[in-house]
Amino acid sequence: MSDKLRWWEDPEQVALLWKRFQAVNLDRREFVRFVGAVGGTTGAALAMAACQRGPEATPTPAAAVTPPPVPTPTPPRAVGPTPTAAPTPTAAEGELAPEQVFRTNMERDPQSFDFNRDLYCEGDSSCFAMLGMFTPDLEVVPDIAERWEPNEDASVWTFYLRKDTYWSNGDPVTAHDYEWSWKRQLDPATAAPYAGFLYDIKNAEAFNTQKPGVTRDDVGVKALDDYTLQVTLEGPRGYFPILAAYIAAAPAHRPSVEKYGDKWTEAENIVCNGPFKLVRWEHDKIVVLEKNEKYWNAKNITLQRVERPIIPSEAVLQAYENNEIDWMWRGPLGQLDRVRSDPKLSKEYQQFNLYGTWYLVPDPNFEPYNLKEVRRAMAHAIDRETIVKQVLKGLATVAYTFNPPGMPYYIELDDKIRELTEYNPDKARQWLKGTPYEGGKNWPKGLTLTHREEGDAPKAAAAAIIQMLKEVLGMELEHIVGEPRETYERMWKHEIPLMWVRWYIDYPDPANTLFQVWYSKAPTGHRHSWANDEFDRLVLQANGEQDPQKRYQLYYQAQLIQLEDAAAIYVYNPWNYGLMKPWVTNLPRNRNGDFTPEWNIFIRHYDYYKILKH
Amino acid sequence: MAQYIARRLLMVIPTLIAISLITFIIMHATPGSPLQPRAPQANPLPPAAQEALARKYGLDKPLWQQYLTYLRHIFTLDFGYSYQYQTREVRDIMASTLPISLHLGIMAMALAILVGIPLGVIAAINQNGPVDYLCSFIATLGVAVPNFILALFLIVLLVLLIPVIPRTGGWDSPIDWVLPTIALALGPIGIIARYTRASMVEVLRQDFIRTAYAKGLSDRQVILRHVLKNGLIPPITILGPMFAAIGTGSPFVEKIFRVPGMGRFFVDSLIARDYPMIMAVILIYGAFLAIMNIIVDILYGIVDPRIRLA
Repeated sequence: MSDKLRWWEDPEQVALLWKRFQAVNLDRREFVRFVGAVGGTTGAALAMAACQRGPEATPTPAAAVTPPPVPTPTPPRAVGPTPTAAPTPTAAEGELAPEQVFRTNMERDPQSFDFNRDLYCEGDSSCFAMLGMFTPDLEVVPDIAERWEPNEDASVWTFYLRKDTYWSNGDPVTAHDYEWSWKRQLDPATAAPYAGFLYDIKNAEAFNTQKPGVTRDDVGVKALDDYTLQVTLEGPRGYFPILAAYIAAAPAHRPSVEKYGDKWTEAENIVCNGPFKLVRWEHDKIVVLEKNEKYWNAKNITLQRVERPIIPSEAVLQAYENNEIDWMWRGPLGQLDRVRSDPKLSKEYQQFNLYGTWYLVPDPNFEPYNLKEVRRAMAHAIDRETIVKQVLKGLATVAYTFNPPGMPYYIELDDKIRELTEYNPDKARQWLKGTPYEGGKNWPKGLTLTHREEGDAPKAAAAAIIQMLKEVLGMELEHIVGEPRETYERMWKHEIPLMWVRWYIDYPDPANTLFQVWYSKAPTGHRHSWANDEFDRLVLQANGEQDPQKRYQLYYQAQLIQLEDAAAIYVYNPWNYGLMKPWVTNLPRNRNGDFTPEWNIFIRHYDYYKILKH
Repeated sequence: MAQYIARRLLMVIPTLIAISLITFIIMHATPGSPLQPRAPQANPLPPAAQEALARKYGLDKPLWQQYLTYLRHIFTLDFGYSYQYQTREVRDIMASTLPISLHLGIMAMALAILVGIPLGVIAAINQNGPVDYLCSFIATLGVAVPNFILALFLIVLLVLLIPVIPRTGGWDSPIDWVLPTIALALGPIGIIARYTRASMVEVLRQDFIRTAYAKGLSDRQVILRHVLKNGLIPPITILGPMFAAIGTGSPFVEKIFRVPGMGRFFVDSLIARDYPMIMAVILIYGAFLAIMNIIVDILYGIVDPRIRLA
């Protein structure tokens, strides 16, 4: 690659970036989505390949993925002197409340607020600002640094910091702060669990792993003066600004750390440089943040205070109803009926498509699923409508095919698909005729249905499926809820006869669903054991097809083949919900206009909210 | 008497050492490591990072050495830093949470005694009558309903439906004490009432009660002076351990009502394999229990002269 700055087109750099994010345990799905946001489809495809290959593999682009032409992405080089301040001052309808207080719960007491040492410390990340920050569309815009520039091959980056931003105690935020903080994270004495995130910096890994002869001073981050930070990397890294904007690159306030040690993030000791500062932390009771007036963009942030009572998920709805919090970010499924039928709560309801599909995989290597007839019978024995309406209370949509609705190339239910997937007990039993299991008898002993521990909804749906298979086909399945990591490992080894599993979409293209999950010849491993040459040929061809119409046809054919073989039984597309009080306005939205709640890349939602008089 | 108490108190020390040793062994034998992150979305830490953490916590040393170091430290009341609450020492956490749990526990215990004993007495006097059944019903409810269900029920009833309590939780003013006290007390009310009733019924059948009635004493006098005094010995036996359990906090009640007490650590520290915290809560509970048992033994002597302490 000639232009190292267009890192999203460079498989080597994408693979490296993935390695860094793995060090902080970023979800593969989030990673792909987020590289896709910057690099378009090329970036997403390479990101996907990088994740698949694992960190050690040779970085060659996945031959199979031939992405469509690249949409022009926003190159990070073109960061101008006038940064787009994230909160665009939109005219809020109605009069603002005199007291701008936003209240939302934490589910448990944070371990600390020391993001510089451990990004999973569970504190409130708005206390610290990085050199850049993410928008709801996951693009990096300037934050503490007003601009940055790379050298010729993007192996040295220079960040120019603002001169008008201060720590909450009045100290200027300088390049020395970042130099010291990043070295602190890398220092083996700090024992920072996710220091691997910064290994792109020259000698960072050597210093962190105590390689002889490498000292703190050899680490490639240096403050040239108070406001210029030069970062020398191990090689060309066009993506470095993304790392510098991620919460794992948060600074710590040196004098506080040196004075108080591990206690420096207690409310009485902490000094913050983010848009908010911690002012009160009554352990196991409440965390209170106030706007940091010394933060450069404070004038564009409306909220003055954020209150975060520690309320466990079991009691959070009651607290919301009693008007103790404004935003309940995770709603219990058990209360959904009531929330939706309540005249008041139903208006405050926010739901999010999780863009995924739950499906059942009968592995053809195991009895009795080696018989296609059995698999087809199962496909007709599951009443998806009932699962979605009764069990999941409508917080899902019925799935017959793999792509979730709202995604390009979503396959509408037509006669052919209905024929292959409809709930029809008679038809199901018909399929068993002529097999050893005719009449629902002679099933092997000890049949199981396995899924990993992942909350109540999938568990309830699995129980319903077991019940249906028993009623219609006489199958006796034991319900096994496995430890998450262990269960996925066994799935990849094809050791689970009947798996109940989900796929969340990484980026909106069927290359991510039908191809990535089911293409059986991928050198990197195969999620499920089912293989079909014709299916493989079709999805491979579809990946390279430019004409959307033809491409759709190819995916459609592939999907039909799979359903005819009942290799997977798609059941539903999951959603999630939260509740937001009506007086909170100016919610952060992505370019599709969807509300984007805080999650682990986009974290700056407080910058947006405005509270109406109520 | 003073000698007896001193001897019993001295016995607590070897007991605690034994408790600490057993806890230490079980804790380290349990699968799962404190070197793994607590956040649910986080994956396992790479080995190098785990080693660094192990060094920081001193977990890289042989077990016997770790235990002896630990033992040496707790004699100076140094429980070390918590693994999961990284900004605080276990000692500080306990110093701020134990008094709150004790406070709540004393209120709940007082409520349980004030309601439970009369309930048991009334039930015993009206044996097999409607009042007895009502008391039995309340008592059964108190024992059978888990206190976190009761906690949510109380919130829905007294905060949302009949808004007499302004908040669903907190620990800022006496109004916040009401719900957690009730939620914590209902179970003990049931237990105390059942014990009291059973032993009262037993005593009521004794010859000396018949004698008392024959002497022409009023109901009131018989019940208060003769039945109650003798019938209270079994309830007193359970009050000690019960108070040790309640006074160190309930994980569920404290969590749901946002009471910053130490109850939550009984569950949380085990899940997180927060070794220093596990040791601390178990030792505190153990010491509490031992002391309560001594107090109960002394109380026996006061209630029943036959059990005078040697």
